[in-house]
Amino acid sequence: MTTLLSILAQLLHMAAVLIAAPLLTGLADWLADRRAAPDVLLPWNAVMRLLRRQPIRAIGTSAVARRAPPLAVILAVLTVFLVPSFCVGMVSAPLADLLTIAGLFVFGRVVLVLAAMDTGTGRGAVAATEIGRLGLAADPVLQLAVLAIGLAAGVGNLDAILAMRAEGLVPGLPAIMLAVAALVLLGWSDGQLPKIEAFFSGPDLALLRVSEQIRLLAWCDLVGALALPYGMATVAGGFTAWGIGLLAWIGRTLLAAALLAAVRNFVTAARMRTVLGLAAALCGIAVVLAFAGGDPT
Amino acid sequence: MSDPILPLLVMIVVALLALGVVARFRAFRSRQAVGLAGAGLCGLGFMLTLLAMIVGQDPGRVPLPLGLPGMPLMLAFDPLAAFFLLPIFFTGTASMAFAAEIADPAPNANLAGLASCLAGVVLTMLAADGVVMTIGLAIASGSVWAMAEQDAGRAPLLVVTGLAALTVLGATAASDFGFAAVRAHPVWPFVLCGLTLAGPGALAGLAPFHAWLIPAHAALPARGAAMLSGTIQPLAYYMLIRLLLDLGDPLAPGWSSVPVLASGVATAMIGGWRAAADMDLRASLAGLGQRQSGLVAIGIGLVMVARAVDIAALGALALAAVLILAVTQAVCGTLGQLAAGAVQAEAGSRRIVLLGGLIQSMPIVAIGMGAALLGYAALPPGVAFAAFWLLFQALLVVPHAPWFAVIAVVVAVSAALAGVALVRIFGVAFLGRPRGPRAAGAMDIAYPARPAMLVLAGVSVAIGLVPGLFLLLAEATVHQLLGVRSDDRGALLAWGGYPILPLLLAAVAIGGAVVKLVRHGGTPAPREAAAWHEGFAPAPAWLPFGDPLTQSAGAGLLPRLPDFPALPPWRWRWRPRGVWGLPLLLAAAAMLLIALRWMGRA
Repeated sequence: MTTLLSILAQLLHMAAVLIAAPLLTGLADWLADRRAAPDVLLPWNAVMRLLRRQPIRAIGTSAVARRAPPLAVILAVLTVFLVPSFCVGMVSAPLADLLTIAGLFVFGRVVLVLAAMDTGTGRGAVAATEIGRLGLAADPVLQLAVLAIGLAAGVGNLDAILAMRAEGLVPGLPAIMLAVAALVLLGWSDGQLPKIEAFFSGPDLALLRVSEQIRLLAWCDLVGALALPYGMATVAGGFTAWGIGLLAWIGRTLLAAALLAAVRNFVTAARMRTVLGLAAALCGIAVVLAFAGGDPT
Repeated sequence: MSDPILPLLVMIVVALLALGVVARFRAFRSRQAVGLAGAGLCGLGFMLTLLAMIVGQDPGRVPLPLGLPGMPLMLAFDPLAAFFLLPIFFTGTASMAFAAEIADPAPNANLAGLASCLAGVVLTMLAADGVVMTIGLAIASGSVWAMAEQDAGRAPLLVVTGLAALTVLGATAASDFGFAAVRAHPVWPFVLCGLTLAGPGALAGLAPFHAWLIPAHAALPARGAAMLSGTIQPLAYYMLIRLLLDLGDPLAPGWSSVPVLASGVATAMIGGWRAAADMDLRASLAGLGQRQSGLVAIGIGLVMVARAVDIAALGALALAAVLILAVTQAVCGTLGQLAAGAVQAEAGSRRIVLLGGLIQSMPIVAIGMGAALLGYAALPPGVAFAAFWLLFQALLVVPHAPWFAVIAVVVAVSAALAGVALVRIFGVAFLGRPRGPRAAGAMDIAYPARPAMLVLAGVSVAIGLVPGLFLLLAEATVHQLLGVRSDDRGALLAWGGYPILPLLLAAVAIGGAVVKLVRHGGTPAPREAAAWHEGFAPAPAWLPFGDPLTQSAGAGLLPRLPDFPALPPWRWRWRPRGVWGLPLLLAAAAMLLIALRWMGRA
């Protein structure tokens, strides 16, 4: 019975996040600029329209550029597959290793860099270099933040950490919170990656946009679940708990959209170095705190 | 079980040596026959070793009918040697098969070097005393050295080999060179640590003795570099493990791991940086190998910490990481250097900024290089991610002390540097447009040599998918070194804790759904058009491959290092003359004897 319920919860989770991903982007855009506000459904409609267009591919690009958009979507969907939204204990729970989730984010960025390089154009080279530089600074911070969370909680599995948090059993909460703050900044910087959309068209472009939207939601889910796990249901908790969990998740996502819109008006991508430096500092303190804490028992 | 297998392995060593002699004197007529015979011998060795590991062997010991009276040379076949022989025989098979089909233009890169190097490596791993280990090491390194052109880059290889041989002799001299006697009376931990870092550590490219490694790779022909990377470096890891963990005092205090950890930390950073910064394809790959050495040293240091503080889980995790790293270095080191050699031979350069677009003209080589780079960079399905994951799991159970944060930072930063190296090598050399006529007209490697490269690539990917199954083979090795069964950690990794295989299945399902979604729209077939260059005019006629400035040269990915203040040049005023040679040599020998005598007392 529990297995069935966990499968059901997983299906519900996947459906919810896949529907919510374009809406989150649309909502953040809508909130960011309300004077000339675009339609909330604009990202969804654009993707649907692009899927019907004839793709045009640059002469000389290889299989890497052709496979990059679907691969980016696969990696993004795998990430949201692992990060719980409204309920812990889903089918993906034993796989939800934090380091693997970080690895999927990193891999997604590497795919973008390789696709940009494969276009063989000047703009592609610039975009690849910028994404690569960002990755060099952000990837270690991401992995260290994940390590700090794992050290402080005593396990490396996101689902187990969330289950412990729901029962108020996490010992190293200060370190976790510092690491989550670093994750917030990293998630913001991940949304500011240089666009490589100019080299793709039709369904390829649609897939790239979908992957960006899902990645954004994955970041929001990850940070939201770690920072505000209130109302998170368990699989065996019954459908009422699931409903509360869903409402809490919708609330967290709305909050994330509002924060994203607010940040977009105040912080520009030019502040990337400052933001990453701050993330590294927070994460460094978190790691030292976690290592200096009590011995694992 | 090992009773019949050890003599058979010794016969394979002898046969490989004989093959080397044949190849040396009949090089031109018999290349293919010699290569395939060598591949067959290595394949036989692989099967025998695998059989012994699956059946489970007792450490067999065989005295050689050579050596001084009363002190026979000893060979043994224990689980540690078996685990390292497996990848050596495997990559040896692939290298020999590759060499049988493709002639290397370098004059000294003949099959004799390959065969005798493999024989030396196998002999070193089968050694049960310091003298046999030294002899094997001399054969292995000497064969690689002889493959290089006559230039300065190869000389340091002899120096570090000499150092490694001296330290092995020094560490075992007090117990009549036999490993069994050393285990009964271990050398003082700090001396052993220093000796090991200066000897096998230097051979592995560990800081501060790392400077020779990358120039030596560049000085060797591709085949020799593949041997250096894929057999000599794992051999050095084997010697590190043998000396520090097997022969070292199991009750050594925790601080004896500090030099090893410090050296590993420095090496991982230096190697990662060189890999991400060097413009030479093979030097960059050598940098990745050096980073691998650093991670191995970190893992060995963590095992020493685990033994000192008695945390079995930490020891098992760190040792599993070390074993996976060693196998990765054997497979990916060979694969990367062979692919780089093919690129150099076909596209005419190993400077990555002169290549470009090779994935179109050399798809098999691109697959090989891609698999090698994925095996080095810590990206999820790759084997390096498994090692990275294991190191992080080890750090999760390490005794809590703030300075372990340094190790965590270095492991993470060097992983990011390896990622940059992957992007730069693959993105610049294999993707985009060709940057010159040679790159545009390159041909893939010949058909008969393709299976060797594809099998190497397939194995490196397969180990990354199911590292747990692979680690099941290492069960006896873990037991030998740590004295504990690693429970069913292997099975755990394969199916539970390490999530890559289920995620891959999920990824395939999602990929199917994505393809279905895209096809469902009924989109017309894709059309090809010239890339949009932001409105710039097309390149003039004298630039048939386009303006080189419009493609990434792989620069700008790394931040600029601050300018360190330059040290004043150091001048050596005393110029020794020939007459000083003999007294100096005698003094050194006397000091060595005194040191050995003292260690024997200690």
